[in-house]
Amino acid sequence: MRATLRKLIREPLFHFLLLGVVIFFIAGRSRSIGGTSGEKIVVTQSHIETIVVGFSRTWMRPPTQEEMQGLVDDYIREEVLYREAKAMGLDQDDIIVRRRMRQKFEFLSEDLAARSGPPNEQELEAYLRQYADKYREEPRLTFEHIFFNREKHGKSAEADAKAVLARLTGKKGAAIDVEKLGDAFLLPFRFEKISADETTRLFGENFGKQLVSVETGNWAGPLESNYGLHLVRVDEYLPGAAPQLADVREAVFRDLLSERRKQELDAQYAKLRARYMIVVEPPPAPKVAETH
Amino acid sequence: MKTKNTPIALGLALGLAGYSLPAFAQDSGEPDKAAIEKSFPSKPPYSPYAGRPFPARVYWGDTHLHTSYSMDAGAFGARLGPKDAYVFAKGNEITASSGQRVKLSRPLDFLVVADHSDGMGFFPMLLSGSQDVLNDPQGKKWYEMIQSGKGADAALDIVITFGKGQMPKAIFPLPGTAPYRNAWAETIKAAEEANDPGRFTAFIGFEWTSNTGGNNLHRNVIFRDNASKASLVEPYTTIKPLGSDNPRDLWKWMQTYEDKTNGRVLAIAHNGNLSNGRMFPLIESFTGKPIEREYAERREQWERLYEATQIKGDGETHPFLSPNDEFANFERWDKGNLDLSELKKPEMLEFEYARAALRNGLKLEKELGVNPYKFGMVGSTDSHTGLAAVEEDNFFGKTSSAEPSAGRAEHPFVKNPANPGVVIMGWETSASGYAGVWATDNTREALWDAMQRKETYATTGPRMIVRFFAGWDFVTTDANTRSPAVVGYQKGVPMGGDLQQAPGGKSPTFLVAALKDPIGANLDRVQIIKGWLDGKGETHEKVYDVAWSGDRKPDAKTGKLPAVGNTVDVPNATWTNTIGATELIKVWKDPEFDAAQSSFYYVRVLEIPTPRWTAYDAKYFGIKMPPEVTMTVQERAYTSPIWYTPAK
Repeated sequence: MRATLRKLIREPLFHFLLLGVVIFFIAGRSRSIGGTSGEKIVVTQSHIETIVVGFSRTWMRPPTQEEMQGLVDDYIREEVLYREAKAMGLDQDDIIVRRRMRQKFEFLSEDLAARSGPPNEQELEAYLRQYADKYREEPRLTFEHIFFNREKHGKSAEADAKAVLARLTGKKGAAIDVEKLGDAFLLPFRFEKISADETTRLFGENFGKQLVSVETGNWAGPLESNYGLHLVRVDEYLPGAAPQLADVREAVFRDLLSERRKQELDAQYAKLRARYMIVVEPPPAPKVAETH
Repeated sequence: MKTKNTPIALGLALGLAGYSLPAFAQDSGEPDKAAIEKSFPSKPPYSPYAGRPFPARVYWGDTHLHTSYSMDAGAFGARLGPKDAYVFAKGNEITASSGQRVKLSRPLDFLVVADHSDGMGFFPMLLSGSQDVLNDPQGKKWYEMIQSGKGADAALDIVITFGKGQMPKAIFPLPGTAPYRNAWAETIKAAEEANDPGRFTAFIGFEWTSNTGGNNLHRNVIFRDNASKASLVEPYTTIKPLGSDNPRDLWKWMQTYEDKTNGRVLAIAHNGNLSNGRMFPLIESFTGKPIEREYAERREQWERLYEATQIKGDGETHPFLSPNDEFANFERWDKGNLDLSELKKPEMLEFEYARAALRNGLKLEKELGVNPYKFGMVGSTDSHTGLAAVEEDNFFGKTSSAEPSAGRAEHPFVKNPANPGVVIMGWETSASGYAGVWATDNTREALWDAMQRKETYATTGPRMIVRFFAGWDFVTTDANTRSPAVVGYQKGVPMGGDLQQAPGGKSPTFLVAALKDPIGANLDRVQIIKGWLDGKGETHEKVYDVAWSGDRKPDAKTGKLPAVGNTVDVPNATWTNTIGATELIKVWKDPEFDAAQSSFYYVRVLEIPTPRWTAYDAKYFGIKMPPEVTMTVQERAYTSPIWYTPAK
């Protein structure tokens, strides 16, 4: 349904209708309409065919004789007003027309890009290797933490946490029952293979960022979360594995295609731009009140 | 009489019948005690959660979201379909129907796209301008209105025509027609594609929208099952003869679904506040007769949860019903029914709000032997935009025409020529809510099972973590243990659970804990709300402040706890966490317990005041809101109750 709407918006007829209204309004106000007399308008068979196809696609049936007559009349009317409008230069400096022309040109170029055929297996592989980081799975962590509630510890929270850390990293650290340390907390104290992103969601950005750079194996910290302070021990850090093409084929295909389109457009633009000599005048002096 | 366990019981019976009795003889040798002991470790595992099947994480979601497939949503400009809704809920940035870019502060864990079953897929069909639509004079008229830029007029005309029950049959998607089948197939397909067990759950569901006379009796139906079962049926509608506006018929349909497919479904009602006294009846509006045991059993069986807060107002309680509750006047919608065709009368309120229904449930249980209103709580959006976006600073409104704009707050939301002068304004829509579900995993099965056992709570938008347990033996020190949940499950039952016949002379004890939203406001207080049935058959309620921030002391005379304060800077739409607590944990014992009286207890958690969405709007658009507009809000959570039932 969005597609229908989008199609409608892209439909040149829609734009021309819009333009038609504008022209009609302007033309109605001006006394004489320009343009040369005696010019010929031929409604060719291919025009008629286009009209019929357009109608059938929208209404799911061919037009009746009467409707056909109306459509042709409308086409003629449009053509007359279009020519008159062009003769008056109404298409110039009109942002909608300019954008539309640019868009049409770019669509055309994109179609050219697509004509080189869909990317093959090797090209996809190469693209995946080139942008491996983009498709890499998120890093995952297994970690445990001890919580220190600032509301309970007040100003000594940091010192209290550091004291516990010193005990844990001391000689007898391994024998300490971690479960007896720190304050109550409503999230689990141990997370298995949790993604870095989810850690951020649960504890806040600061904690998430710091946690991924904690060395594995030993108690460390304290890290500040959105809840308070935490000593942490990261038991396992799994850097996101580079995925196989089969796992991310669809995304790679889509991205490569859109990159090619972009490249095609840029290359073409560079070529076209080279045909022009471009002069950019210096911006007008700013009208600033003198400062005293 | 049939129960929901019938298929399982039957299956067991059949399974057993398949064996001849001697099959019970051992064919695995003689049991050896020493060998068996090895498989039962003597020491508990190091991790307090290991080996325990209880939920360690709360999952966040919306059980009630409409997309362009809902007729009214489409009419008001929604162009996002179910697929877009799931993409957005997963935390991706998309373009809203109004053309604005939008993204959630963080992803949701699950989503139910619940489009209205009546006319499901009507708008996508109408916009397609298909042959069927154009062959119908009414359809052709609407299509042409939309094509010629008069979409808003067409929408109004469609909504009015639907309200009058005059939709042309030929183009209205009814069960059995191709457009209806397509819309349902698309809905299922979108859920199947978005469902990612362990990471994101996309439920299959729909809304059954009984709205006769503008009185809201809506229910959302949620499937536990995958497409293989859900696609065997088409959603139940309200239009006769295929559908019905009576919830009893919906329950029959649900029973038939389970019988036919061996699947599971549950229903969640919402917006009793717009039902004008019909959502939680003692006297059924359809028959005028008192509800009987059959009604009570079926309702308790199928309607395990109630959506207690959402955009169209809060449904916990009302100042008229709870005059002593200073927080009862919250995001109130009490002018009339859904279309304001009938104005509110105070005597309706008792049958509309969750707390009053929980109270009447105790009364009915005594009379009928079954409590029909034994429901848990969830919050959800009921947004009609395809966007589950109800954070105060990221509120994308009820309908696509109410997506952020300078004028949306002062635009009338509901008005009815039948009652001129009574208007619900845009600013009265509430940026609320979400459902928190304590499940063992993020899958359709685990989340659905948690909903079925009511281990859920409602919030008005923030994601605070709330635990609530009841038992007979909680002691003060349990609040100081590192993992309150571990002791909670060991000694008690979680939210949604039951306590039965008090052991000699004991009062129930409760372990309650709340942790603020990691990116949200601090907590003001935790309250336990008790309702009970006395010896004379009258019900009562009382609100207890249980834990609060700072060193505030309850007033010696009134017992009221002083307000937490207010740091909200309305013009700048900011606040600071310089007041309130990040975490509140407490063990509480009911000081007024009577073992002979049935009762329920649920928790309400209040945040400190924060800017309401209207304040963010005023700041962003640089507009001045009229003086009557509420600019701050105390966001909150409501847990499912725990019920106490005395010995019979």
